[in-house]
Amino acid sequence: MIRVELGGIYHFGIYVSDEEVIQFGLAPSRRNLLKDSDVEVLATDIDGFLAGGFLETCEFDRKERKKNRTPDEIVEYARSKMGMRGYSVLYYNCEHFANECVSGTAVCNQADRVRDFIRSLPVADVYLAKLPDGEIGEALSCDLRQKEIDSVTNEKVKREKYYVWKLFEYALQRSLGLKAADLKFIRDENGRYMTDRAEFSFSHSKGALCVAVSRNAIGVDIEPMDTECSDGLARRIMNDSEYSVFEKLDKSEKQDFFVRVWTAKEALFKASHKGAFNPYAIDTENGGYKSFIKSVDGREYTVSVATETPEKIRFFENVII
Amino acid sequence: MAMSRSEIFEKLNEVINMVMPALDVTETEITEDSNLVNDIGLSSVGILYVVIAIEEFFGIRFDDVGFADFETIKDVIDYIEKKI
Repeated sequence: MIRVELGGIYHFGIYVSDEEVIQFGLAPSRRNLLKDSDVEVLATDIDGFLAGGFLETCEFDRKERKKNRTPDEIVEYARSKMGMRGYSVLYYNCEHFANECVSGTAVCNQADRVRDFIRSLPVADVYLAKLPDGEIGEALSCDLRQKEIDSVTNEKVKREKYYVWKLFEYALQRSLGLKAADLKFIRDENGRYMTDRAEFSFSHSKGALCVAVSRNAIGVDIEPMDTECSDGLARRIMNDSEYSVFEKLDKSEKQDFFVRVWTAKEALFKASHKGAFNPYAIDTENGGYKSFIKSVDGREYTVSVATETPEKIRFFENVII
Repeated sequence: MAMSRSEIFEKLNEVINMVMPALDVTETEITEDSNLVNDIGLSSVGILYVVIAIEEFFGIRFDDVGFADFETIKDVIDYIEKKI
């Protein structure tokens, strides 16, 4: 198996002789681009294969050589595919074909590497919406969530739980291209929803809905900025260091600080996936989160988001659900 | 809530800009008429990155088209609109 790098992409072929290199389509250059349906397995001489690039030969280790076809079998297989079509740049290209000839398995390391890179790009998207008025709509695609909602007797809580899930469905599709109906959800021992395709977190409070989605651990919490606070409550949720900052503040600063610390602790807890929520034990002084002031339906809220990549947090506000 | 054409355009813009740093391509204003190669400056490997990024972020598969099917951003949006 040989290859040549042209424009950052490798073109692969099966070398039989200088006069015969079997390949799936010609080397990729804009001049030679055909529609996929017109690309076929063909043979050129070595110069036609290289198209001015440098020849590289693929080396296989002992284990690979043991599994691979013999040279005669490889050539026989490649020749038997001459004229074959069915090219797909991502799913069956020249590298898939060459590997299939050699080992019987069609793989493309180039596309796999790019996909791994794309999947490693950080996403930390946060969606905000106003809780809609009126009755809840059609049943959710997630039976587990629908059963939970059906068991709730408080109408407002029922609507919050329903619509935050609808917002979550939108966020999944918008940020990660995932359809909630295609995913399998489970609940952990603490009742938190999980799926293997995404990380996410919900929060709803006083008419505001908030959802965060990511590929990595994420937690979110939203509370109105005018949430009542008292020294006694602050003493219970803050550790000594946090409380020493709090007690030196004036009344309005205390309220802002209290709401920020509270939402940060909730967000950090949710991102951690750990057992029971013990705000006192969660330290907000080591970072790992970012707090924002956001307006939902004319009321101001503090939103804290816990993520490994706070610089990548993006907000999608006033989403209509 | 299906995505509108303008939402697809907005998201496509985000996705392209997300992979730009890896491609050493200068950020540029993208419109529906932008040509992938001549205006945005994508090489064949750049198009590979963008196509896979679109698959990953829109949840679709480019299994029935090739690079040659897309000349402009408009062609890409038309395809995404049909697939989602």
